[in-house]
Amino acid sequence: MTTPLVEIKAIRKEYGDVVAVAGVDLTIDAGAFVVLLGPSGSGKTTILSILGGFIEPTAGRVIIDGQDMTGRPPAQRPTATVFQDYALFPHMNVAANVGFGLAMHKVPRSERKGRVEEALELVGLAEFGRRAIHQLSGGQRQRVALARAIVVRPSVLLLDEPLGALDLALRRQMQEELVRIQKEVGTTFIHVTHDQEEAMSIADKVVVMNHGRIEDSGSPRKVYLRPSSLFAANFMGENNLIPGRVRSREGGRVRVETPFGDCLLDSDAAPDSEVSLMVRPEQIVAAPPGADDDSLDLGRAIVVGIVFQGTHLKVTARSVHDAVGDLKLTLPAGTRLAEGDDISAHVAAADIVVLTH
Amino acid sequence: MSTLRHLPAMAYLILAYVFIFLPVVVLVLFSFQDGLLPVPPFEGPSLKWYARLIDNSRLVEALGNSVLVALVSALTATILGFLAAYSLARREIFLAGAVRYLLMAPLTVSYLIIGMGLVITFSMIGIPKSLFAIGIGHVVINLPLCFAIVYSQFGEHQRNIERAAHDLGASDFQALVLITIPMLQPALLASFCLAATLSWDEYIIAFLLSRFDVTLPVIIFEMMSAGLNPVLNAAGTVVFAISIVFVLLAMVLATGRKRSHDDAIG
Repeated sequence: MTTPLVEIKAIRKEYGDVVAVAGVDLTIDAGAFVVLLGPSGSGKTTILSILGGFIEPTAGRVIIDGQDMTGRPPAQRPTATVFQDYALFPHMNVAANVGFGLAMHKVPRSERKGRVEEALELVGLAEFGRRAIHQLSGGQRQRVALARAIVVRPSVLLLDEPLGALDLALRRQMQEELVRIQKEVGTTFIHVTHDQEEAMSIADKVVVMNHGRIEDSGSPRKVYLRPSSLFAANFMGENNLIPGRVRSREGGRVRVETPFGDCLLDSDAAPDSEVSLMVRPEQIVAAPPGADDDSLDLGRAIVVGIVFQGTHLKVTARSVHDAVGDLKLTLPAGTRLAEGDDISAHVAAADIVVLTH
Repeated sequence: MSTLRHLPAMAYLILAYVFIFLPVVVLVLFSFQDGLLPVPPFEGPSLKWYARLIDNSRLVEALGNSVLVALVSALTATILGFLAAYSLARREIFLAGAVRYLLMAPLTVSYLIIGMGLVITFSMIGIPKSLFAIGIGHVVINLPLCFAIVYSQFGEHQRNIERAAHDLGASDFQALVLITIPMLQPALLASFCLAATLSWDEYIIAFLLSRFDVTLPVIIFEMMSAGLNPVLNAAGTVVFAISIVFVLLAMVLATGRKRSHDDAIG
């Protein structure tokens, strides 16, 4: 069994009466690309600052590489940070910015030059060493900040919403670059963002945070398709929530009473508890179920809205069951459908996630 | 059409500039007067009053004193202002708000009151009237300004830049010398130049705290009480020219230092 690279143990951070982080435990394996995802004020940036040593936790410990880092200043930690506003040194050129950490770590001048060039090449700025910072675009500054942090070969690279200031196209491009660079250098990346699409496209492991707690964590696929909390389900993307009540437990499954009838689902919810059944829009099929299909019939619904999105249609359909309200569906772009049409919706039982309240 | 419409604005602009610059132009022009009085008519260009200025050892000595006091007091005020701003912006300080207001408070007190206070204090603790005493007086009046200018440049962005330096392994001292001070260099230069300029033509405190060694404004005032004299115009022109040199120096220093930093680190 390998020990994790980073261990966060029972971390709390309070500012007076405000609790920024309310007891977080997290382990991160070496070489992983981890994304802390959550709305502003969820404590994700505070966790990152505690890892970097910029904020002292009120309680709890941070262990990196088997060593207790709690209380150590940033300069003595094997971490490097890419700041949200890049925080480049404005009075130095690109090469001097990237070489700063090496100079501080007393790397000989002869070795520095090569490593700076290597780092700049890695981020695609090979010819930019002599440029002044104010001559660079936002995207280029971002790359310099990345090179400056990577060049000191940290055990953990901390990225604080590094793509927040970039426009959409550039952000998508930089996401791919980050993944490529992470694979190339093999360093553990811990990346903070509030953009769930960004999280899904770059992360090996997503950690969803809210109100200073971890709501859910796992692979993007797991967190999107099998979220373990209502908050995580909502934050990861659009969904349909169908109210239900657990009737009884049958083996490892539960029998849930829904407006569409009973169904047998994977869950360990207690009998008699109120639950929500979560279904992603793309999991709803707009056709009657097959005879031997293990699926839940969502009944008839009337199309009230269609938005063409290029690759697919976003359809809103009003269920005939009042308790359900509007269903959100994602259908193939070629589907022939008009407002007012009747559809018959169903969803595979395996796709339904039971969320307790 | 458009020129016509802009005419009132142009006229206003010209009047404003005449109002501001005419006294200086007149002063400079009549320093070249080839006559006995610095009043119209202008009797043709001559450098004889500048020759007289150079011959006047008291004036030349006062000029040297003024430069010395301006440079040393401005440097002192800028260093003290920077240190105060740095600790207030970067460290946890007991009653930081009160400390900040107290630092700025002397801005509201007139030079006359400060000068009188200094005369009494210095005689109490036995500091004689001297250039040294004037220098202290100028640090007292300029420190609040220097502090305010530098403090205004300590923002959250600068703080992150310092954090980045620490993150990359810099000690407090390295971050201060390699990052904070160079990053604030424009503000520090502005602070220094403003303090130097204000000290350079400050009269009241210099008058109250001087005895044998005097600064240029004091001696110009003294000579003016004996009547108008083109030598004073020449002296005034030199004062004006040196002020401009301070400004140009600041501009050159602010733009011309980038390279040397890169080479020092990279």
